[in-house]
Amino acid sequence: MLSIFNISSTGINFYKNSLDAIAHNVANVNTVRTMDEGAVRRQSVVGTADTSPVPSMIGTGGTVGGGVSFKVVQSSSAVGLVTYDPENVLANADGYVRRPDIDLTTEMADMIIAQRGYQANLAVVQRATEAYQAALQLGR
Amino acid sequence: MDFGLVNPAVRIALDGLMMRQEAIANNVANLSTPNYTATNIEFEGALSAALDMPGSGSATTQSFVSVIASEAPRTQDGNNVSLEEQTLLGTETNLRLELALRAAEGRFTAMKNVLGGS
Repeated sequence: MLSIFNISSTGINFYKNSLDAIAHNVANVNTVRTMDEGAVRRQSVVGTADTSPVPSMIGTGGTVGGGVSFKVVQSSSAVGLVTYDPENVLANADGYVRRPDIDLTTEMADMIIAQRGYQANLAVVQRATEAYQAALQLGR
Repeated sequence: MDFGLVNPAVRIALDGLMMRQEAIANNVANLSTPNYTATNIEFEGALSAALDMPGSGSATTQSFVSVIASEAPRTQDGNNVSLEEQTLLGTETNLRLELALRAAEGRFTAMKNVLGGS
């Protein structure tokens, strides 16, 4: 019972972790590393539909899926953007450093998507609460 | 002992509508999942067909509910969940649930009156 809450919580968790990954990317947008170290890599959260049966309210063994599961992947290479910056203390003998291959515009767009997705899942929880509350009034 | 407090059709409608809410929750949770196909729950057609036939009182919910895969166009990442559609469907489903709950309520009120409650 109350499986809508379980399903929606996986969605909320997914978007929360997306926001965490975006925060990591934005925080490191200017992180310079040496050529040997390798650039900071962009993180993204990739979801997969969870098809494991959820104990449904009426015991049909979960005909709908159980929400979303996800994994965090490194979505840019450690090569990064090799930049000529001889003034930098981290530059190698030839004057090169590695900057992360992170685009702030993409991060901002992803952030808006994650924010709206989070809100959409919360709206589902809100609606389910109303429905359950109405059901609890039965026979009063 | 079954007092028949809830009409079988109302019971099936309540179960089906609740499952539809679960399907919507699952679709919204998978809003950004690559290659995800939206699903919906269909039961009204089978239910109204069964009501036209006599002797449908003992039917179970399982025989009425079917999961339909959406054929909506997909975005670049292969996902076809439409948030607008899911929100509208969710609101509509909640109103239908309320309606079905009111239909169920009537029998309870009648039974309470019979039992001497004021």
